[in-house]
Amino acid sequence: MRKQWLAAGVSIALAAGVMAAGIDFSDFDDALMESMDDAIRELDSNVGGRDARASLANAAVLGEGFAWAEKYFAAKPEAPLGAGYAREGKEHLAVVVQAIEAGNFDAASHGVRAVVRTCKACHEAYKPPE
Amino acid sequence: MNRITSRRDLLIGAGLGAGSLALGALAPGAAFASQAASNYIDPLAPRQPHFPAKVKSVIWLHMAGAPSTLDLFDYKPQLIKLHGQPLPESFSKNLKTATDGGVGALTATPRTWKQHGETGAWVSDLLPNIARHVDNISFLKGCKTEGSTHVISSLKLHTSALTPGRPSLGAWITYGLGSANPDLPAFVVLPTGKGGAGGGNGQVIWSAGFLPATYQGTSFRQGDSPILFLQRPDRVVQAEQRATLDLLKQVNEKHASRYPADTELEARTRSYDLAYRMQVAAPEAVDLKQETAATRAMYGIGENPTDEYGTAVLRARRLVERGVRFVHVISGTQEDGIQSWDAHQEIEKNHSIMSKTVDKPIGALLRDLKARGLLDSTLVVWTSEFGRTPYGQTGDGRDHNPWGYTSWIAGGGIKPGTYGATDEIGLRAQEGIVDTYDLQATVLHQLGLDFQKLTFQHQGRTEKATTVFGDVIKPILA
Repeated sequence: MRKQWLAAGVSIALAAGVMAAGIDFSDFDDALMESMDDAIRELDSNVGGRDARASLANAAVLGEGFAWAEKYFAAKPEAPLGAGYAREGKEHLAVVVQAIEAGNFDAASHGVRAVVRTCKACHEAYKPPE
Repeated sequence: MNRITSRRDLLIGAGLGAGSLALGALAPGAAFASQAASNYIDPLAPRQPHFPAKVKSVIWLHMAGAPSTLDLFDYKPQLIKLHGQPLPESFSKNLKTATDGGVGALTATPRTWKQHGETGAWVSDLLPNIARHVDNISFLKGCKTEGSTHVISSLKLHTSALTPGRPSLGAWITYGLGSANPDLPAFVVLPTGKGGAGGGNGQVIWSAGFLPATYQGTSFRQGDSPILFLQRPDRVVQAEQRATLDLLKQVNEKHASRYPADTELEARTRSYDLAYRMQVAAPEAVDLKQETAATRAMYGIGENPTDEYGTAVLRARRLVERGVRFVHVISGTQEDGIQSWDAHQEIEKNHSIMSKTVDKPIGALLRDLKARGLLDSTLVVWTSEFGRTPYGQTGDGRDHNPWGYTSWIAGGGIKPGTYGATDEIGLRAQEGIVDTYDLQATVLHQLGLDFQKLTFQHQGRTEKATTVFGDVIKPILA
């Protein structure tokens, strides 16, 4: 498994207790975020390859990740935007899943980009620097 | 489909064939490499873009070491007012600093500022020559990136990754469009200065990554022989070399006829011919004696501190004239103690020297390209791995700032003006935010390449130049 966040490429020491933006993320599930990074890249590739089965498997990983992140951030008032980003990610992902199931891979590809933008917005707010 | 007869056939079919599929899909009528040498297609053969291109070439002016754009383009009256005060919490909130220098007091630029041209773009007195061309430039004042070290952020700027291994933008462009001049490399790197690799980053920022190696940048040296080991040895005359190569070709072709599925043999034979042609073409392309004395003087050649950088930039113009797709010019200086724009201390001295080094040559480049009608078919990009902070460091320097800085683009299909902005003190990008992925996507777009469709299969995944990120910066397109 690649040790990356989206575009990070370098493992993030959140679990080791690095403080980002003055917020303690030592209880953050770094491994889950790494699997989401893999999943979004795979999803982008598999949607491009019109592989519905693989794409839906990737979407499932992302769905679990967003659900976890929503719960995590809801319990972290010092990071108030996080839960909203997670919900937004879930909503965009639902559109992607619907499009894949309908065989509309162009719409799915468009939706993947929306998911990516949401991930990026959250990282810009809360991801520690490399 | 060819019958696979050996392990070698299998590897060629699996590896090169995948590239063939990928490129064939984006460029009708072309392929990266077929599975049979008899159908061999040069991987550098010119290919059609996805849609009509605005430009043919890119001159990528990489300001290695990260200039303080707060001292060059991003005029901030509020920073002047707050000079000497601690960074206000309203600006520092959620700021994720990671370098060792700490956060010093806000430091105003001592430069004098003026608006220039019809667009009224702000440029400081450090860059009087570039300032004359602002009406050809789109300033991207809301740039941001990731990372806080030169290596990581340079990798991201050029390869869209924070670790080595991905192809650089120039490699993707070469892969997408092939070469427009079979006698020259399509992707040339022109390092300058004592730290010639640029920000200590070296070849990884012009690498082909997982693309075939033929798409990597070729680094040119200063002097009459720009490519290492290209020139004929002194004691071998041209006729002797030609006769040797002809004999080698005959022998290789005879051998290759026994292995019609082996593209490597065909590629090897062609590479000898390419090197032979380059022996003539490459020195000619960078021979500045063919330029008038006035042109050389305009670029600051023959005087300090512009001689080396001016030489590189004039070479860049000559290379795009000859069809080179992507010329990556890396700024540096021969000045003792200063290798790049990386001014953690003595920023006044550093930026004074670095600005003098690049300003006159870049001003000349813009003027020259325009006069020759080349600015319409060339994209000139001025950028760096990040900018520098509005707060001070070590008393007279500035720290790295990945959160907000200025880049600019000039040339074909670009609308002059100012797009985006940093906050009131120039710390963070606030409007019209442009990430490095967006800059890359826009460059590809101007070359007629859809960054979403330019793909390559690698380890079972469809890879793209900007990974999963990026948006074309549409507001700056004419």
